[in-house]
Amino acid sequence: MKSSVFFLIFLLFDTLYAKNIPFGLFAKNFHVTEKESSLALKIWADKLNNMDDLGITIKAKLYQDEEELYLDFIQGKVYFVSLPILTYLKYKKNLLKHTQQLYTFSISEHKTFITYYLIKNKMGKLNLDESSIKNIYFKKNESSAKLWLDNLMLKKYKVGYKRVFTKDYDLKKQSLLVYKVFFGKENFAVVPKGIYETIVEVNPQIKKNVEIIEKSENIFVSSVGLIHKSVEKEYKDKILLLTMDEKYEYLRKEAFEMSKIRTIELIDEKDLIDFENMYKAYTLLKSKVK
Amino acid sequence: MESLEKNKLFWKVFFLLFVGIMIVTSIFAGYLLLLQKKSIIELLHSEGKSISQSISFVTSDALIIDDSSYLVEFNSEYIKNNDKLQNIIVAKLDKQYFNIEKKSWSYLNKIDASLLQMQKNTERYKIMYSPILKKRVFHYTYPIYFSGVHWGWLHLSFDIKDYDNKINELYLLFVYLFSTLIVAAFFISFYIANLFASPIIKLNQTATSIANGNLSVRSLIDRNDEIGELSNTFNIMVKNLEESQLKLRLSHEDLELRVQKRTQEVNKVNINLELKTKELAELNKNLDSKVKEEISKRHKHERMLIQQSRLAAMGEMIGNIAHQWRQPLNALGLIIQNIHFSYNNGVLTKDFVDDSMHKGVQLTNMMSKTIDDFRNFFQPNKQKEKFSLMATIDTTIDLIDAGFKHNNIKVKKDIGDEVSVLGFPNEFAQAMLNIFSNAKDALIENEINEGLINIKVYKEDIFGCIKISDNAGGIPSDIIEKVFDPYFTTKHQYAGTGIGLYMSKIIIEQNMQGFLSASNEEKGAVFLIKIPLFKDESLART
Repeated sequence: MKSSVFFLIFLLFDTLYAKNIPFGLFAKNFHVTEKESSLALKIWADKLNNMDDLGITIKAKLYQDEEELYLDFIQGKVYFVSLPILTYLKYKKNLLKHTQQLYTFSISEHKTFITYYLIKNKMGKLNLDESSIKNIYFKKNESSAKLWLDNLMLKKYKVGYKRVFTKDYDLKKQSLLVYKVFFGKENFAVVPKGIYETIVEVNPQIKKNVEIIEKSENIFVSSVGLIHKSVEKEYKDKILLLTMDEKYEYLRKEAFEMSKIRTIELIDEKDLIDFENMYKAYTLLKSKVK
Repeated sequence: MESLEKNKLFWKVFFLLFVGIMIVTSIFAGYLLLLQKKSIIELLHSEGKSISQSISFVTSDALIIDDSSYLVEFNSEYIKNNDKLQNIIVAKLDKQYFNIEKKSWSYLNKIDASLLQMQKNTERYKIMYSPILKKRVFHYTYPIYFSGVHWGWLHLSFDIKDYDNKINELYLLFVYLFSTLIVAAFFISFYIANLFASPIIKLNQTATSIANGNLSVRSLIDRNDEIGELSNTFNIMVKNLEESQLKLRLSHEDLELRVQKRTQEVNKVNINLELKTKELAELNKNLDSKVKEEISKRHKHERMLIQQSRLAAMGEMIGNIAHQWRQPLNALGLIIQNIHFSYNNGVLTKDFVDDSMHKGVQLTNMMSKTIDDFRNFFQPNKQKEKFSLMATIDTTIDLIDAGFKHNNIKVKKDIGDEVSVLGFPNEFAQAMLNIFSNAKDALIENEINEGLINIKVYKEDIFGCIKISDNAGGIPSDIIEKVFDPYFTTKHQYAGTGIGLYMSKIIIEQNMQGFLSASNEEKGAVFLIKIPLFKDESLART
C-alpha cells in the first residue's frame, strides 16, 4: 500500500516537473493533407510522451498562419518549428538570432535538397503560342516549385509562367503530377526528382509518354526547421536522437509514413545560400520584367 | 477372442459397422470441407463486392470525366492499404485497362481472354490463375454502373494464401480426423460387433452341442436384453426338448406294445375283410343279373302303364263311341218303331220301307264311320310330320263333341294364323283328348251348369302354343305340382287311372320336344302346350 502511494506521488511529481517542449509546424509545409499532418504529429508526440524516463513532454501544434508561427518562435513560445523557405528568407536575420540549429524534412531517402523537373507529355509542346492549350500542375503549397518555374520562364520567355501556360492547378498528391502528364498530352507539371523517379519505378511506361524538358539545381528544400536557442542541449540531443537515430525508428515510422517524410536532416545556414542567391536573382529578374 | 476371429458373423457385423461409420463420416467430413471452401469463397466474394462498391463509388466522377490520373492514384493508394488485394484492373468500355498492383501499375490496351470472359453484366468470381500476377488468385469481377449506365468493370485479384492455408488446415484436420476415426471406428465396430455377435456365437455353440445330441448343455448368457431373454427361452426349449425326448422314448416303448396289439387286431380285421371281400365279389357277380331283373321289371311296369293307358283310351273311346252312337241309335230305334207302327196300322208301304231302310243304312254307315274315326285316331304315328294344330284340335273335339254337348259344355276357339308344328299328330291328339276329357270331368264333377272350354292357338318365338282353359274352378294348389306324376288322380278309383296327364307330358315333352305346364286362372285350370314350329321340309324329314 505504502509503495503504491509513493509510486503515485512520484508519477505526479514527474509529470509536473517534466520539461515541456513545444513544437510548432506550419500545416502547409507537408506533402499530405492537413488532416493527415495533424494526425501524424499527434501519433508521434503521443508515442514520445508515453516513453518512460523521457523527462520531456512534447506539445505539438499545427499552425495555419506562418506569421503567427514566426512570432511564437521569436517570442520563445515554440522551440521546434518548421517554416516555408520563403518565410525563412523573409525573416532570416531575426529568426537566426533565436536559432541554435537548422534542419529540414527530406521527402527522398538521404536527399536533403530537392531538384525539380519540368515534365511534359511527349505529344505536347512548350511554346508561347496562345492557341495551344498548356496546363501546368503543381503540388499544393509547394511555393518553391512555382518560384523555380516562374524564374525559368522569365529567363526563357521573359514572361512569368502564368502567361506561358493556359491554366495552372494545385494538386494534393504529388503522384498525380506525373499521372496528369502521362494521360494528358496538353499537360505539364513541376515534380520533385525523387517523386518522379519513384513513380517511373512504379510504372516504366511513363518514360515512353513523359519527357523531362527542364531540370532545376539541387538547392530546394521543402521547409526549413529551426530549433530555438532556449532548448537545453540535453533535450535537443534527446529529441534529435529520437527523431533521427535508426534505433528509434519504430517511434516515428508511422507518423513519418503518414506525412510522407523520409528523414530529418540537420543543415547549416550556408546550405541554403544557393537557394537564397537564386531567389534574389529571381526577384531582381521579376522586378525587371515588370 | 479366438472364437471371434473364426466367426463369420462377427466379421460381417464388424466390417459392416466399420465401413458404414467410415463412409458416413467421410461423406460428412467431405461435405463439411466443401461447405468450408464455399464459406471462404463467399467471404472473399463478400469482401470483393464491398471493395468494388467502395472503389466504384469513389472513382465514379473520375470514370465519368475520364480522369485516368485519379483512377490510378486512388487505386494505387487503395491497394497499398489492403493486404489481401493483389491487383486492381479498371476495365473501361473503350478497352482501356489500368492494372494497378501493390508496387506498380500499368496502362494496357488489352487483357487476357480469361479475364475478358469474366466481364459480364453481373458480378463473377472464382479461383483462377491470374495471367498478370502469374499465380492463383481469387478473382472478382464487378460491373460498374452509375445511374443505370454501364461504365466498365473492376477486376480484383485477392491473395489466396489465407484461403490455401485454411484449406490446407482443413485437409490436415481431415487427415487427423480420418486417422482418429479409423482407430475409433475400429474399436467401436469391434466392440459393437462383439456385443452382438458374441452371444449369438455362444448360442450357436450351444445349439451345435445340442444338435450333436448333448441335451445337458445350457446357454450361459446373462443379460437383461432380448438376447438374454432369447438365451433363457433357448434353455427352456432345451429343457423341454430333453423332457420331451424322455417322454418320447417312453411313449415309443408304449407305442411298440400298442402297435403289436393293434397289429393283432388288424390281422383279425383283415381276415374279416377278406371274407367280406369274397362276399362282395359274389354280390358283384349277382349284380348284373339283378340289374337286368330290375330293368325287366321296369319294362314290365312300363308295358303295364301303356296297357293301362290303352285300356283307359279304349274306355274313353268306347264312352265316346257310345255318346256318338246314342243319337243314331235313338233314330234307328224310332225308324224301327215307325215301321212297326205303320205295319200295325196297315200303312206300311214299299216306299215307306225303302225310305226307312235308306235312313237306317245312313245311320249305320254313320256309326261305322265313327268307329273308323276312332280307330284312326288311336293309330300311332311312325315318324314326325308337319301338322296343323287347329286341324288336329278340331278333329279331337269332333271325337268328343257329343260328350261336351251332352253335358252342356261349350267350346270356344280363338284362332289366329295357321300354326303348323312338327311332331306326331295322333299322339298330340291323344294328349289333347286327355286334357279335354279332364276338363270335361272337372266341369261335371264340380257341377258347372255352363261349362266352358277356351282354346287359344298362337305363335310365340319358335313355338306354336295352345292355351286350354276352363271354368271348373281350377286345380287345388296343394296338388298342382303332382298332376303330371304317374298314377296320381283325384277321381274315383273306377273313374281315373292317373296316367292320362303323365302320358300327355311324355308325348309333348319327350316325343315332340315341347313343353306342357298347368296353372290356375281366376275361373279354372289352364294347360299351356308349346311345340316347336315347323321350319322346312328337310327338318320335317329328320
